[in-house]
Amino acid sequence: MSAKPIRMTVNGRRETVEVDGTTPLLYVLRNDLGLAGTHFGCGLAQCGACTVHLDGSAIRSCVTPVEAASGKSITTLEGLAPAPGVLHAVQQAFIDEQAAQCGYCLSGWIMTAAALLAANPQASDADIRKGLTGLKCRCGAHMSILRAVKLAASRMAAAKKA
Amino acid sequence: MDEFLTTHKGTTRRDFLAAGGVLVVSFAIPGRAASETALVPGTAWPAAIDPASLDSWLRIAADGSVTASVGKIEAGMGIGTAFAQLVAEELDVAIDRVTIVMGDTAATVDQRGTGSSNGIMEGGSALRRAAAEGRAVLLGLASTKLGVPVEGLRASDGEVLTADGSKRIAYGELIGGRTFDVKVSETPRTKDPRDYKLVGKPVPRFDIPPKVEGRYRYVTDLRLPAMLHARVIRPQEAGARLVRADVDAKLPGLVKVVRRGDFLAVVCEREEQAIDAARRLAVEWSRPAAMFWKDYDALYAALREGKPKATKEQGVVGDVDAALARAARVVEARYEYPFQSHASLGPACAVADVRDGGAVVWCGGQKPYPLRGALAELLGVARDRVRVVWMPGPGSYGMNDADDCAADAAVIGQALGRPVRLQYMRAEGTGWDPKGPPIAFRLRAGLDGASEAFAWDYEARGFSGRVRANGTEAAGRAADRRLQREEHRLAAVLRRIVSFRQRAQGEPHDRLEPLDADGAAHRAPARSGRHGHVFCLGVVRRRGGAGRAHGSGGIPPALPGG
Repeated sequence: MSAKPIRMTVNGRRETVEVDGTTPLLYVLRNDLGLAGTHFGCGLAQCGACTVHLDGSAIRSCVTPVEAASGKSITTLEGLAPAPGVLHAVQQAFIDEQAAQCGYCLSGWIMTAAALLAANPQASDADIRKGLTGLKCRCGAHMSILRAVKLAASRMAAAKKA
Repeated sequence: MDEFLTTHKGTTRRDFLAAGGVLVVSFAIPGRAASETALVPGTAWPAAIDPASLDSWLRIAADGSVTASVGKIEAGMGIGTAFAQLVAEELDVAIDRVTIVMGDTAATVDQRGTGSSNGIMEGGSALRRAAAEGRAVLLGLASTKLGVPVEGLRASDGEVLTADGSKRIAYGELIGGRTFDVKVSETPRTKDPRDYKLVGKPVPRFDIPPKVEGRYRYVTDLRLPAMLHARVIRPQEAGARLVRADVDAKLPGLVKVVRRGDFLAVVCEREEQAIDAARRLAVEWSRPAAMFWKDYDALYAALREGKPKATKEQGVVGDVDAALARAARVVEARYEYPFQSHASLGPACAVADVRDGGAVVWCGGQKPYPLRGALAELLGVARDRVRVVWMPGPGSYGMNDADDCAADAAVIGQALGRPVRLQYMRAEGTGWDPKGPPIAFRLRAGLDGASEAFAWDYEARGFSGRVRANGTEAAGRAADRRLQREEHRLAAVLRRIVSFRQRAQGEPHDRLEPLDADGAAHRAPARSGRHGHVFCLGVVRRRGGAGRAHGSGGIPPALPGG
C-alpha cells in the first residue's frame, strides 16, 4: 500500500491523485475526479460500461490500475466532445438516432465506437459489428446503437472527403 | 448540500455541481413547503401527498416555468419526456418549460411507482387531468384580471389571450409561485385529441443528450458530504448462518463492520477499500443443507411429478379430460422456464442517510412508495420520518436488486449514523436478486376432424414467491427474515389452467397463452364450456444439491422469500 502521487492528463487537464496505485482507474475517475459518466457495470471487464480512452485506445477502467495511467492521457465520455457546444460525431449520431434506453451502458458504446472509427475511418458494417463485440446493453438498444455508429462513420468519412 | 431531486427537464436539465468529487444539485420546487423538500433525516415529511389537490401535481413559477410531479419513474422508456409532452399539450406551454419530478415520497403523489407498464396509463392520465384543470384555473384567473369572459379567452404558449390577441397575460403573472388551492375535478375538460399539437408527434427524448455527454446522473453517481462506502458480504449458499466475523479487523480504510443477524457489511472511507475489505474480512458461515435441487432436470421433474397440495378452480363449465378424450387428435407440448432475473446492466446501488430518528434513502428501484413503509419497519422509525427519493438506477426492467440494496444501505446507515453509499458487486446482484421462479408447462389441445382446436388444457407448474421479502409495504417481518437466511424458503406452487381460452386479465398465464390471438380456441367455449383450475403444491425445499453463487446458468443461491 503506497500512495505516491500519480500524474496523468484527464480530458486535457493535468491531474495529480494520491491513491494506492493498484486502485482501479474507474474509482479514481468517478470518486476523486468527479467524472461520473464512466460507469461500473460488472467490475470484470465483461460489459464495457467503464470504457475510457488511454492514449487513444479504448480500455476497461474497472480492471486497469491507476498506476498504468501514470504519465498518460485519458479521455472519458465527458471529455470526448472536441469543443464546448460541439459534440463528437458519435455522440451526435446517438442523439439523432435516439440510441439509448436507460443509457447506463452508453459510455461503453460511445467510447468504443469513437476509438474504433478513429483507428479505422473506413470501417465497414462488419468492422463496426466486430469492433463493438463484447459490449452489453440490457435494454436491447443494439439495433439503434448500430445505426448510430454507422451514421457517425458515414458522416466522418464524408467530412474527411470534403 | 441543499437539495437533491431528480428532474427531467426540457433543453436545460439541471447540472450537478462537481466540487472535489462531490456531486450535488440544488433544486427547489416553487411553492413547496420546507417539510416537503428537506433532505435531512429527522424531518417530519407529509404522510402522503394529497392526490386530490392540484398543487400536488402542478406548480407554475413566476417566470412561467412549469413543474409537474408524478408518482412514477423513468427507466429509459422516455416516459419523462412523454409526461412533459402531455403536460405541455394540456396546459398550452412550450415543452421545454416543463420539468418533471418523479418518485419522491415527500414531494410526489403515491402512485406506487412504475410497474406492469402502467407509467403512462396511470401517471400520464393523472398529469393530463391535472394540466387540464390547471389550464381551466388559469383561464378563470385571466378572465377576472382582463375583465373578459372565459368564453372570449384562449390559452397559447404560456399565455392567456383574448380572441383577437389584443389583451394577453402570462401564466407566471397569473399564478407564479402561488398555489392553485383547488381540487382536481373528477372529469376535467381535457382537450379534444383532434386539437393536439404535441401529443402524438415524435418528440426527442430529453434524457438522451445528457446520457451521451456523460451528464445524466444515476443513483450510482450520488455523492454526499461525509459519505462512506459500503459493500455487503453474502454467503455462498442460501440458508447459511453467520457463525463468526472479524468485526475488529484492521484493514485499510475500514471504518466499521456492520452485523445485524446474518447480515454483514463493511464500511470504508474509499470505495475500492470497501471492495477489498469485503473480500479479505475473515468470515465463517455455516454449511446449510442444500435448499434446492441439484440441477434443472431434477427441479422440473419435481415440479411435474409433485402432488398438488391445494386446488383452486375457477369458472369450471365442462370436463377437459373428457373433451380431449373425444378429440380426433391431441397436440401436446411441454416447455420449461428457468429462474429468470431482471438483471440490470449494473448491480444495484443506494445511498442512505439515517440519523436523528429518520432516514433519507436514494434508490434506483421502481417502487419508492412501498419501499418507504418497508424501510420504516426495518429501521424501527415512523413512516413520516422516512423519505425515499428515486434516482435512475443502472437499468431496470422490473423487480431487481434495487430495493434490497436500499434496505441494506439503510441498515448500514443506521449502524453508522452518517451517509453511506452501497453498491453491490456483480455476483451479489446476479446471485441474490429476486427472481422469477421456474415453471414447467404442459399444454394440450384437442382438435376436431377439421383440425380446429376445441379443447385447451394449459398447465403451468411453478413456484410462488414472485414477490421478494422486502420492498413491498408489509415488509417488517419479511425484512427481518431477509436478514435471517435460514428461514428463506421456497414455496412451490403448481398452477394449472385448464381452459377453453379462459382469459383472466393481468394473470401471468394470460401473457403466456399461445393461442392468444383470435384463433380457433376462441370459439371453443360455445361447444365445450370453460374450465379453470389452479393447483397449489406446498413448501418444497432443501432437496438435492447446493446452489452455486457464482456459476453461470445454474440455480441461483437466493430466491424470493415466500
